[in-house]
This record gives sequence, C-alpha cells and structure tokens, in this order.
Amino acid sequence: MPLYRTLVRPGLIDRDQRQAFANDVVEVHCAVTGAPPSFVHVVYADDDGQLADGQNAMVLGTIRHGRDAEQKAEITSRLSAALADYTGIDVATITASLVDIDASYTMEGGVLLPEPGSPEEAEWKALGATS
Amino acid sequence: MSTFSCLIQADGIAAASRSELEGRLQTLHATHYPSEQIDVSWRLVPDGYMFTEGRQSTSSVISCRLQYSPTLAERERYMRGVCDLWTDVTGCTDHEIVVAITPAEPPTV
Repeated sequence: MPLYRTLVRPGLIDRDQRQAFANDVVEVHCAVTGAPPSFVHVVYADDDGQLADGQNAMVLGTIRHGRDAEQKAEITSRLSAALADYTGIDVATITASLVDIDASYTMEGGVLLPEPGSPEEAEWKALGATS
Repeated sequence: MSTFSCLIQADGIAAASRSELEGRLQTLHATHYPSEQIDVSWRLVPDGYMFTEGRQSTSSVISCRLQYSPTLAERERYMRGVCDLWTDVTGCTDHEIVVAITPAEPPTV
C-alpha cells in the first residue's frame, strides 16, 4: 500500500507506457508523502465499460489516511499530467482521485501499516528500505 | 457471507495454487468465525500490468470484506494468518503480500 489502480480504454497505453507511468507513480507518491518506494503498487486494467462517456482513463489511489488536501491535489494533478504525457490522452479526459484507508486495516511486509507520522512509521520505513 | 478478492500474478505460483489457497483461507476463516462460508474471487493480472516499486510485480493483494468488525488485535491475528498460509503455499515472502480488511462497519477516516 499504496495501491494505484489505473483503468484505461483498450489500445491507449502500451507496456512501455505502463512501465513509465508506474515509475512516475512511485516518484510522485514518495516525493509527496515520504513513503518508502518498495510499498508502492500500480495495477492496470483495460476498461470494460466502467469509464464514463468522454473519459479515457481513471487513476484511483488507495492510500493511508493522514495526507492533507494539498498533498492529495499535488499527487492527482501530477499523475494526471504524467499519464497524459506518456500516452497522448487528453488530460481533461483523465480522472485521478485518492481514497483514504485506516492504516491498521492493512498488513504488508508482515506488519500492520503505521499511521503517517506515528512513532512506528520510522521502523516501517526502515523495513521498506531493506525489503 | 464474508468475501475475499484476490489480485494475483497470472503466471505466478499463487495462480497455480488457487484451489489450495482457497481451502486454506476457508480453514483460517473458520478458526476465527466458525460455520461461516466464504466466497473467494480471483483476478489474474497479466505480465506487464502490475508494478511494485516500478518493477514487474510479484505481489498478491488479498482484500477481505468481513461480515464482522474485528478489534485491532483480532484483525492483526487474522491478517497474520493470511500471510502465513500464503507464504506456506506459494513460497513467497511477507513483502509480496498485501492483506486488507474491510469490516462490516468501516472505520471513519
């Protein structure tokens, strides 16, 4: 966690572009939040009818709660721009949003995720650095 | 009924071990919530469709939607159990497993 689900209309993104955007997700998420990169997941799916008319892609990030509105806005705007850049999709047809989760309801690396800013987070970051 | 939604790599060991994993999840669930059946669904991710730390992912993401609202200690034991059975069956490490619980009464965040 975080997990970024990226839904794109079929044919609008290839493997190299998926790889490039995944790299950007890691870079942007970690730069904005300070989270360790080893926990950042990006999964893609070809749209099967979930996208609305006029919408070509959707990025939905599930992240630990505790990030402020400014951080979230920076993540979503940078990711929308990056996806548009790599694929040529009109940025106006890309929707990016974030969903907060309570960290203690997720386990990764064999431990419960710590709350952002908690004393346990430093230990968790060290775990991510060595995984 | 509680449900498990498992996102796994299409060409990984977990995909080849779905039947055993499903049985072990049922057994684990029954130790916490006896007599309740579970429903397990699988999403197989093709090569090149999932990345962790910017690299082709080997991770499994197991989302458990429970009909209960476990305490912190209960859900830690439950998720620990999922990790243990998953590593036992697939040979993967804890770092390749994400387990998330959605309780009957989701927390307000």
